[in-house]
Amino acid sequence: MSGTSVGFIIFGVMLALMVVRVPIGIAMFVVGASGYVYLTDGNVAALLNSLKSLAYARLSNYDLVVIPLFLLMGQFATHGGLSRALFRCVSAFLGHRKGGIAMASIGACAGFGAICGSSLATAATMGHVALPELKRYGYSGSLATGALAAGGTLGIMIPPSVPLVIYAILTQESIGKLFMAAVIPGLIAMLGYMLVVRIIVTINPAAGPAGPEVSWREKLTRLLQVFPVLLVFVVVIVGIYGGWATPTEAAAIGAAACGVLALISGGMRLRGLIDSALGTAQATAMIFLVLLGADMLNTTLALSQMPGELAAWVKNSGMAPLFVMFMILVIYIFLGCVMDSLAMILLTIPIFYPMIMGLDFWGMSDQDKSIWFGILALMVVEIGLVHPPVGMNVYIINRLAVDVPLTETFKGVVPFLLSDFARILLLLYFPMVSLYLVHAFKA
Amino acid sequence: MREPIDAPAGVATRFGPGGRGLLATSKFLAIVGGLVFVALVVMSIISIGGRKLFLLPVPGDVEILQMCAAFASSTFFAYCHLVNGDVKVDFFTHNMARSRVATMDAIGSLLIGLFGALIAWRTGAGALGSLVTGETSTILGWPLWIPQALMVPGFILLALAGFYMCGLHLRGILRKPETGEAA
Repeated sequence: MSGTSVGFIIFGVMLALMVVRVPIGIAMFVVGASGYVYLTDGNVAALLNSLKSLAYARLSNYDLVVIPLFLLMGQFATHGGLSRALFRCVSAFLGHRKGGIAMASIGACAGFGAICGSSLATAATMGHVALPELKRYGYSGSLATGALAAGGTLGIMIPPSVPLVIYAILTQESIGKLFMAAVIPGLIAMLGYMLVVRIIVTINPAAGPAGPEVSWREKLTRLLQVFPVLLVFVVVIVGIYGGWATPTEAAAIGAAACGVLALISGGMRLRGLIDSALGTAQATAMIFLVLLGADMLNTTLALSQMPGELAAWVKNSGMAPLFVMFMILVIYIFLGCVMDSLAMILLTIPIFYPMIMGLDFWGMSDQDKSIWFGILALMVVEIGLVHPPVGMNVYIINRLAVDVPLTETFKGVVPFLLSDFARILLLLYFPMVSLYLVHAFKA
Repeated sequence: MREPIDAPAGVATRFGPGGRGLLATSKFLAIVGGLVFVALVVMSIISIGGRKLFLLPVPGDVEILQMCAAFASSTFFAYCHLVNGDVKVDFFTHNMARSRVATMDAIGSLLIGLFGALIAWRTGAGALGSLVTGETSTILGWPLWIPQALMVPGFILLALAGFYMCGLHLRGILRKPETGEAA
């Protein structure tokens, strides 16, 4: 049997295992290890030997430490009461408009996303703060929950972003450049969501009544309260991109800054510290178990030479590069129906990345292509968080908004999904949107 | 897929004394691991500050970070599994009878247990290998078998957690064949 057919069998069995609820990381590991033994003609000793260093080599990886550190930073940010300050600040500026409180929720999500790399955490944290306010001002259930579920995805779209770190590690791309490239698309996402709110309340003004006007003095006070958030974001992103600190160091600085903020302004005590440690533990283990499985799987896939052969086949098939890219994005949307965003990145990048790198897109350099594809992949896997049936963000927000039926929330996210698709097309046809900042500030 | 940031309230209600002990141990270890990361944050700040201000970084900070992070990460797995934190696809099974789902989860937990045992065994063997060859880190010259050996308890605990959860799922099916609960 050729290596490529082994590769396909591995994928088939793995998907079957996932369907019957085997944890994704374990499914990857089981098929990876079995495939490895098969491809080395039953050499179990070789497998056992390579397993000796699997856990230590992976978990002591310097770049990877960035993930628990960013997760810790997000935990501190959650305990630091920053979410409330952000919401109060944005709603001071936008709240008096029609639909303004929903826009403020989205803006606050974006702000929180700038110090938190996880969408679920962003949705949950901002949901706690914003939902009661939205209800108080009489916002419709579908607009309130839809805006927050969509807004939550800004958590990973605006750097720091855990999926981008994984992409960077898999493709040996620079974390700093990817973060920089995600800034403009993330802001476009935020503005797109706000525009959706605007359109909804123009059609149906009762869905989002205007809130009270706030004095300029009050606006300034609230702006000052979120200044630390801006500072942390700028230090982390500029620190990494400017080469002033490694991503791991920048994450440590960010975690320390959010920790200090949580101590001073959020009243975090021992209990909060322990909760943060446990939250970090759970989220990290969830990601790292998938990573360990993916390591085994990718070793075997490399051995099978399937990714390379598949990439060569796509290159020689004469298919239009944009068509290939389009198909990949469609596959992501379908995978997003059943799978978690990180698992999708870990599973598919080893296959899709060589394909994309082998194709020519408007004569882009390899470096540009790899950053552009990373941002596109991020944007499209994030959609899985809000569309049915999985739509984790939708479930989280819906659980918080007890009186809104789930179907209402899913209906509520549809207009936001449309803006997601529009943005992805924009990023697909205009790579410069992602690459502009990377080119403008060459480190 | 499970909600990873939710407080795992009520998870332990079906646990027996052994399970509660296992959960308490895993939780304690995970907290220790989390606090190690907090300590690493403090060390990094001191090191960055020292390097930028006085050209005096903590020597071998990268190595310390790597070794401690490997140990700390290994402490998280058992806790995550006991509170049902694994990433799973539950789209195809969420309308199935609970006893069937519990059977599948039992198999999943069994595989987790086997994985934990295998990695604990191999990482232990790796540590032993480093001890025999006297491998040390480049800058500090610290023996590399220590961080590797420190990872073993976390994976042993993961193995125990997997086997325990497997038993728990199976017991649920046997005791209540009609309404067998899924975790």
